[in-house]
Amino acid sequence: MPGYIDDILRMEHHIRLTGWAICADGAPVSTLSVQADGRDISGIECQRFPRPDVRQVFPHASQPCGFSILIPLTPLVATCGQLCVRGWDEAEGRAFFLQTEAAPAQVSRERHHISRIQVRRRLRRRGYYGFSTLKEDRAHLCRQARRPGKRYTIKPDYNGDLPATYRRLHETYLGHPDIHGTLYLPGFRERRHGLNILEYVEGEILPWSEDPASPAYGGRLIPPDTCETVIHLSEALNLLEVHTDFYWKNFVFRPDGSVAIIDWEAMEPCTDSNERLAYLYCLMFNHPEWQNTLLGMARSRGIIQEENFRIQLRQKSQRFLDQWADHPTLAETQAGIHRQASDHREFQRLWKKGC
Amino acid sequence: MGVTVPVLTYHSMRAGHDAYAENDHTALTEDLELIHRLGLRILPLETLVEHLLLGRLHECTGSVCLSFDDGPDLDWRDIPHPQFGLQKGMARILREFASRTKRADVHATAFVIAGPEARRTLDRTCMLGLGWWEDNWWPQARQQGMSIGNHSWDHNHATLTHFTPGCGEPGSFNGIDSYSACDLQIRQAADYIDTRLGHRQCRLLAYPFGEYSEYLIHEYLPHHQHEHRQIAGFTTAGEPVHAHANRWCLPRFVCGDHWRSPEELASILLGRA
Repeated sequence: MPGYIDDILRMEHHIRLTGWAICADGAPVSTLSVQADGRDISGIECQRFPRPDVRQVFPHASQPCGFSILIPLTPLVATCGQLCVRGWDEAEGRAFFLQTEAAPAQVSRERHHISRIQVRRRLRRRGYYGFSTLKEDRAHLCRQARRPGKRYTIKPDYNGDLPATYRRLHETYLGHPDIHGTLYLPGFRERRHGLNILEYVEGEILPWSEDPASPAYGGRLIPPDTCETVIHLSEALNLLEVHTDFYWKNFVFRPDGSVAIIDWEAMEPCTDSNERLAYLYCLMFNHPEWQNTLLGMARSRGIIQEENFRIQLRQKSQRFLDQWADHPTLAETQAGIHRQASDHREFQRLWKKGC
Repeated sequence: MGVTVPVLTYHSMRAGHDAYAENDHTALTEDLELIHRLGLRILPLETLVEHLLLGRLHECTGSVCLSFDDGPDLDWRDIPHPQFGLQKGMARILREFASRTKRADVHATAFVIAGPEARRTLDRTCMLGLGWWEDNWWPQARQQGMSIGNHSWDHNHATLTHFTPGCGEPGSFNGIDSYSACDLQIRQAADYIDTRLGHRQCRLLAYPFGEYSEYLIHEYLPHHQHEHRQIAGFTTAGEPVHAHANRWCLPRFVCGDHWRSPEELASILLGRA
């Protein structure tokens, strides 16, 4: 159920919510209402209008899919934590909710506007779509989290010294059909670090620490048949200029050998594919043929830039070199990569291998 | 600055000697008379916050708000002090004043420490250990018009015997600067109070020691409101609330700190402080 609240305009006695929503089959949403902290608010008026920009992304969307709802600014609305628009999807026979990013009182402090959203494009029918905020001019990735009938996942490898926390989180959230949104883990000290709960992924995650002594380390990390997946993903991310926490803690190895990337976090600064590919290249240190495959795929798709990749490779290998200083054998492999990335002539040889 | 509204804070634990400057019960009794003489309305804190958020603080002209901190039983009931005799509860002082003046607007918010274990410990370390820090009066107080607010889970008080990891240095609330610490001190306290009073009854927060971290007011409170359900936070900054005040650090005046006599309070109420 795609949709978004683009704008909240706070006036002296009213709030106007503007956005768009379409049903799963592309039909306009039949009924729309507003809730403040879960309680229904009587709207004053609800207008519908066409949204050509949405139509560009969702060609099957019937018009009018835009809406503009006017509600009174009551004490309940003014003090609520979250406003949301509730709609009814005739096609799926269920309600859906579009949530605002900020409470009205916060919105008013920012000159009555939250970010105005420009939808960029939809990605490979996987339910992802990119958007950028005009205010910040930053690109983000978004995915519908509410998918009935699916199971949802959290990142289960977080802080392995808290098994009780894991158990409680798993018991609470896994298998619950209605859980969606962002989960804030207790005990996590970093500011506003949340995990988007999307779906349950069956599989295995490599150990938490980047411990080279681990038996899971090395060859298993990026086997050749998952290279394609990783490259695809990297390409997609690059296309949308979005970032995900792209490192091995967030790779789930499915029983069929494919890799699922978990822990999607919207609203993160963008990183480019050169950095991600350099990271993967370093981790494939004991499989030169995989490194060449990775490089070749990336080059053929044009998602890698020679000099940027070299710089990133140099930085990543230095990081691993420092990290594995106590493991001479492993450190030597990274030292080799670092040498290649530091010497232009050596790097040219490495680069040509991917041709 | 436009319309401003002073919020007055009392600590009912400051009991004993009858002198105004040393006994908040005496101070409240005299201050109510002063408020009445000055013709000021007594506004519920929640109403003040709603008007502020609605951008209608001008409707609160000529008002004052009352609050009590920490939530010992002295906020609600009379207590026979073994040394100083009967101490009238703050609620009884309000009731007697309302009855005498026939005013219907007498109202106060009691910010209570939620954690039962913390209250038991503080009852021993800060009072006489006679069980004067219970929560069984909260529902009755709420039913009879007194609001119950959130004064954190354990106040991060220096005399606690079990300190919560991650909550920084005991004796200060400045160290509550992580999600886990805020979740424990604010959300958990709100949950506990709501289980005693009913859904979404606890909506106002007063920071212990009047202290707060940047993380608390700029990150946790604004962005996790659906979790903690608070709508405003109060400090002890010694200023009146004005129309452009940040809802997460609204100032209050504290009896004994910002005024020590009816004359000093009159200056505050008349905006001359």
